[in-house]
Amino acid sequence: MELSLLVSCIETGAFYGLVGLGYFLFLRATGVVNFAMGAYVMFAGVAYASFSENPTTSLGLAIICAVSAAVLFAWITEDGILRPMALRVHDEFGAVMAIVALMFVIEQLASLAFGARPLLGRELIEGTAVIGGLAIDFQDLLAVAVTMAIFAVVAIWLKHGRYGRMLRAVGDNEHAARSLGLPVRRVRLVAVLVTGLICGVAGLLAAPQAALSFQSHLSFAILGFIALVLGGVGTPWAPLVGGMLVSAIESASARYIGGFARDYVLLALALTVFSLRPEGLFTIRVRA
Amino acid sequence: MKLRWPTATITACWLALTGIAQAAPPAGDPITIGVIEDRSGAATFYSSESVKGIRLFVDMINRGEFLFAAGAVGTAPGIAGRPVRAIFEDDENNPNLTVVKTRRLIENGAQIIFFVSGSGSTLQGRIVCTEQKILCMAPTNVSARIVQPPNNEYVFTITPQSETASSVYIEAFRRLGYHRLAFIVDESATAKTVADAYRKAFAAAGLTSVADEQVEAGARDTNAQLLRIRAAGGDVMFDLIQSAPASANLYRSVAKLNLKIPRWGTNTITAQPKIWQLAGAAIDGLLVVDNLAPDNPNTNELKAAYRKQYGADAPFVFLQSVVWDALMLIKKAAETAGSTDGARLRAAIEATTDFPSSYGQKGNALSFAKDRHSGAGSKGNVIVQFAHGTPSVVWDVYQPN
Repeated sequence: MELSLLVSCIETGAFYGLVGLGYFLFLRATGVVNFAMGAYVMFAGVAYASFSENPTTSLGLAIICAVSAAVLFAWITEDGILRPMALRVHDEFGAVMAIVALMFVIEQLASLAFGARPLLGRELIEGTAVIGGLAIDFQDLLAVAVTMAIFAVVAIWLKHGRYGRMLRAVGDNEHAARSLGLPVRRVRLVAVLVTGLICGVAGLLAAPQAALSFQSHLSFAILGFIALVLGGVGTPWAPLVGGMLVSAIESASARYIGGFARDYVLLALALTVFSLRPEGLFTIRVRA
Repeated sequence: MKLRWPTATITACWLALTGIAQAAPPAGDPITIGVIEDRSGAATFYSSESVKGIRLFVDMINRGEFLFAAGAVGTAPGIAGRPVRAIFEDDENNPNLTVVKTRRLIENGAQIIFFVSGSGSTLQGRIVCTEQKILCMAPTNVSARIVQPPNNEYVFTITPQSETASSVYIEAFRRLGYHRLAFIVDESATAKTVADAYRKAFAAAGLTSVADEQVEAGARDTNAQLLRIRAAGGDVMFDLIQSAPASANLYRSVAKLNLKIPRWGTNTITAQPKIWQLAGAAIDGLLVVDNLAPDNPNTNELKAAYRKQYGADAPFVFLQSVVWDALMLIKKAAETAGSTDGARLRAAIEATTDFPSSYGQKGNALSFAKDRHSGAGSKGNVIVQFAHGTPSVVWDVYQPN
């Protein structure tokens, strides 16, 4: 694989990994696969692109609005949908369908608020570095660096942070955690808000790199989910590994087969993973 | 009081001159032009430029400002003494929606339809034109299929078709010694329609396609496609991407990869200033068969009027020119026919020859006939090259006609 393609693959894989990390944290906190993750990322990205298109708008304000929107939607998902449903009836399928409905509501809100044409956001950092004869935008370097930093912070938080350690307990067995007196509701809420924050950052990092529209969320949701499935849930770094693998396969198929093959190859990959190793590459080890 | 004769004469002359200068404003029921635009799909960027032109030029028609076209259409404001108004519907560059939206425009009173969305949309929408016997103009579309049967009886185009443009490309490539082409397109219906026409024309001229790459919507870069193009070893890369962000990403990727392959594109690029802005210096060196020449006085007069309204830095592209020409043709045809009836307007336009145009090389004119609903002539195309981020250099190797 050429160096330029490898660089491109890392940039894209980092993005998929971030979305996969959002799925990972939400799943650990609530036990539910949140397919609205892509919609949080899309809304944040489109909001940032829309605000930053106007050269007089402050970048700081655009960033705050974008990330806040994603955090708000994540909060609505937990406190507005999942918790009320859990109090009335234990129905996982119902919860997933409610989240899918929210996904489409966010899609339409984005269309109403920002229009339907694809938008490209302003770069957070301009300029290009030439490394080994290859030009790499500083924006792309920033995106990868921020992604690595987020993964590192989340890994440290889960291992050593107060709420991170409680999240591990809640995620493993919520009833036991509640019996032990852990503040389950607060732990879940913190994890969900962190998920929203991660999705918001993913959106605003993606906006300067690819034109986003209200329809972009579906591909984010699917690719982020495949990254999670491929990587597994054994470690917070697993979605990053999964994201890199998805991106590598995507790039390789476009390079060696053709751009048209991308969707077919990814679908075949997902089916293969579900059939042969549905638990993913990294699994949770349970002591005997 | 006794009026002295010289005073009376001067007063009468002044009143007469004032009367000439202030022609009666148009009155009565407005003539409604229904516009199919794209506000949200792949054609948004260039459709929006066309709509800006339509809004301004309709106002200019109602004020009686006809610029160089006054010689052909007169100076009476409005059309046949009636004011003109435009109503708009968004088909999202989705041909499945175009028919519905066209019917809606007609239900809302449109007597003439303008299509300024993608060619794929117009190919569907023209069915309604034939069915309802309403005159339709597709001034900005380049697909030759629009004016070919079936359902071509009531639709006319202004911009040189891709077939005419393709003969210009073929001659340019012949002069440069190019034989092997690499195509790059996006997923939109318009790109497919336009690409098919060019592929067919180039193949008939003996040019070989060595690569045919597709860019998906929302692609973050086009590195994989460009590496395949480089590996295929073509003489030239031909850009048929319709979406502005995707096109800009293409040039940024070309610059990042330091790809040296010569690049040619279509007037989709010159019609979308957003591409130039997003691509920046990465677009320099690109050659395009465009439709505006810097020394055409008609173009410059229209450009000045446009920039007076939209600002001195407002990009002026061929889209505004062809929309102006279409409106002037409608005025001429309606006043000649004495009606907005579709069949009469059609007959009037089919009888129009050497109509002064605002685009193309100096002296370019539009001519139609019963079996020729595309008015563009051989002087409609101009080969330009991008420099300093704008299509500012007239290519000195070859110009058509």
